[in-house]
Amino acid sequence: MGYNAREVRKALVLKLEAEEDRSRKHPRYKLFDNTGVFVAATHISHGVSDINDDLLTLMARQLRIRTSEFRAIIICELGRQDYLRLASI
Amino acid sequence: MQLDTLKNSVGILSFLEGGAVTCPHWPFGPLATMQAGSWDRISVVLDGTGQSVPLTVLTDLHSREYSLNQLISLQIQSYQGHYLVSDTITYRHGLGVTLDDAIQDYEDDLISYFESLMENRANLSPVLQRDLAQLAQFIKPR
Repeated sequence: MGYNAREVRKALVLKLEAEEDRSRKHPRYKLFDNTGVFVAATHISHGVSDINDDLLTLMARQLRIRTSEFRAIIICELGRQDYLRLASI
Repeated sequence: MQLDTLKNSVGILSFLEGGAVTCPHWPFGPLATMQAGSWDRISVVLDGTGQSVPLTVLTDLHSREYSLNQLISLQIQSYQGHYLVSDTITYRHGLGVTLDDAIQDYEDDLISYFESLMENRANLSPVLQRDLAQLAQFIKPR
């Protein structure tokens, strides 16, 4: 099952509170924990409207979580604190 | 994948720009076909085992600031009419309408990630510390 790229961006920025860097060709998202430790980085390529399983899996790997966990974040079942706990395992 | 073996072949492949060659001694199977697309990229299709595994190998970066110390092997997938390339070192990926676009996107992702790690090297999680140590073996300043 795929997700709209805007939904995924919203999950990264609003839910995970990722730092968005739009200075490059494709927006980058950096994630820091509550003490300022850098924990992960990912990006969304321009020209992609839907993010399906293959790309979702690659992004989840970059975020250091499982695809199922990334899905749960996108559909609001998991939040930032859950993510930070999962990413640190 | 035996990158050392592939690296030894790069010098030969450089003379095959734009052409294809069948290499009977290719270590991944007798039917492996190598396509030399440009001076710094080689596409490899392994069909000796009956499976086709599209790969491309970066031998250098297009960046003015950074170059590669070691080859980076990228898997190629099709994705919604685009090319999707990814590595297994730090899970960087790139997407594009053409393979060149996808590789350029990948290089941007790789360099951006490397620079982010360098900028935050005093505050990296253990996993990202490992990533930085690994990438430092692949990427060097020009």
